Amino acid sequence: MLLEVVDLAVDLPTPHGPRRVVREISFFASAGESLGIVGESGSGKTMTALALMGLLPDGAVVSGRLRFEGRNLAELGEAEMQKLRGDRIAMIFQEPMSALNPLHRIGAQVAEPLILHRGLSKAAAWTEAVRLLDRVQLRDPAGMARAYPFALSGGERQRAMIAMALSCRPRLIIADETTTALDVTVQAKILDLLASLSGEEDMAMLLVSHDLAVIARHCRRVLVMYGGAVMEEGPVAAVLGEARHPYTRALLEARPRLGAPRGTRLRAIAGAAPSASEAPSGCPFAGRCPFTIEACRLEPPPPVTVAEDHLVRCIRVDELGRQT
Amino acid sequence: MSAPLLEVVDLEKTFLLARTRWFAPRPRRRAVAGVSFVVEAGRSFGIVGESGSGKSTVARAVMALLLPTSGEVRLEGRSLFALSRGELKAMRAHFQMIFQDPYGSLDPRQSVARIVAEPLANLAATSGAERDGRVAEALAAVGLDAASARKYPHEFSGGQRQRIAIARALITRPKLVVADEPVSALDVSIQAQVLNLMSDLQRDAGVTYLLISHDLAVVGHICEEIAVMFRGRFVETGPSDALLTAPAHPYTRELVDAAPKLGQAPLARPDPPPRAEATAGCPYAARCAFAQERCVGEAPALREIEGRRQVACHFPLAAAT
Repeated sequence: MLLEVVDLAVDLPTPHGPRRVVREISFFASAGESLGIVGESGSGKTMTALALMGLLPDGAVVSGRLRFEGRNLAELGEAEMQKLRGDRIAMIFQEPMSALNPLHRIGAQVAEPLILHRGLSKAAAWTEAVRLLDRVQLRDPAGMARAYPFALSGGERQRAMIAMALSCRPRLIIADETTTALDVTVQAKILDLLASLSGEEDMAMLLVSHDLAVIARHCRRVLVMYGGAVMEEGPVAAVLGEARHPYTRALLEARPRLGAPRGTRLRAIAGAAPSASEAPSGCPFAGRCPFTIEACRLEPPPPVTVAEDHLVRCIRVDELGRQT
Repeated sequence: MSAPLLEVVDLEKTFLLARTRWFAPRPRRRAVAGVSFVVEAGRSFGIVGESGSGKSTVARAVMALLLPTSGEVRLEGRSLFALSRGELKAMRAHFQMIFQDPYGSLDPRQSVARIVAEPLANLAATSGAERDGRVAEALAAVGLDAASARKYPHEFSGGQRQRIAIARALITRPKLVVADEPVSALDVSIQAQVLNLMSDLQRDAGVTYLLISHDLAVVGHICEEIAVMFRGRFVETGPSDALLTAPAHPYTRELVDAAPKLGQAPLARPDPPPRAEATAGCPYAARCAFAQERCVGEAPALREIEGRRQVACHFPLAAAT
């Protein structure tokens, strides 16, 4: 197993004391596998990704086990983490304009991890950078390498970011809302590219997004997060096709669909996600769920296996059945 | 017959960009290159396009927030750009705007009551009591309780803030509401609340929307008519059901195919052969999988096809495909 996360919890310091933003989540990924984490803002999906990268904000407390290639990431020092980052684990961020340095040429930025982690000479790293830019299907890779970030379109920048992330052939690539800021036509092409490259290189891919449809198209397994906890997980076809958790179902029905009759009522989820000041002791979705009973608020719901490899954390999953 | 609610005629807007070197002529960019459309009362109109297509520029021109290079915007037959400042202010009661970002568009230091009442300042004197009544009515219409009026924006979630922005737009009882990406900054579960509210107001308060979005599903959900915009021009317009189920323009087809759908394998489509960016021909030709010789040499004009639709393509796709 390439990546094994067991009971990962993250506490962030706030003026009112520590607040748990990730509540004991567990998942695993093997080489060549694509795993999606879907959730809204505040669901803890980005904090989970940052915990894997060792990039959590100052003062964050991590507990649980994060095993990557047999080592526990939580026990590694900053120097060792730095060796892993960009080499064995790479991350592609949401906003390529702030992740790229505006003062350095694209080629130099793609070459940098090769010089740092692989000890290549500048010239060799540049040649490799041009080859990588070609791999991510940028037109005129040699010219692109000499360009500065401002000269590239959003889609081109994101391709350059992917080239940079792939440079050292990482075993795990984390894409956090990588294409959210892009147009739909560009988004589809970039994610297809990322999926096919990670397949060719036998990397594990962790795709973090708020968009269920993006996950549906590009991942094999999915975790649905809400309020820091995993609500439902399993193969994409099962979780999206036969969603059993009230939150997953609500998410699926909340979006307008192409071709549906105009003005059809959307199933809005009443209320808003729990705010920073309140930390529910029971199910995080209890405050908004139409099926909440008293027991839901008492303690976090344990996972219930509803089908092979399909887990749901809802104490009423059996009585609610398949219908809503 | 009375004049339509909104009529946009040959709208063009060219922006001057910064000089690339000293004394060089300033480069120009045509954001909107001749766009005409009519919005009838009760038939909401949506403009779909990618970033940079010029859709927000159209919205801003309709709101008279920018002066177009040429062209006309008529609201109930009256040309906006021929009005004096005072007349324009009085007209503003009839058309209001909802912006994309509910975090940036509400002044954090003003109470909700002041934010919502602000458009009333442009109207003939309203008494304090009447203003309070209108605020309560507008807040009720968007599903917020009257106590919210004394609160401040930071006390509300994203979806509630967008409701406040909608209440502000509604307080003058406008006929036309221009909404530029009203839900794209919101979480999925909150989007549904705002979209439901927008359809309710359409039905109950008789609001007509000019909705600008990159999201076909959102536009299709609210609007009766859709225009697809590409590089400053409309490439296809028509009733939304027909346009979304059987796109006639290859670009509309690309947008429909690229829209993320659940439980559907992506359509394999051939990547178009690389072509030089056409200057004389169809602006979409370089990306079009169906482009032919003629497309590179000659730009197609927007022309009528059956079913009150218009398409700017030499070889529109057959309805059956």
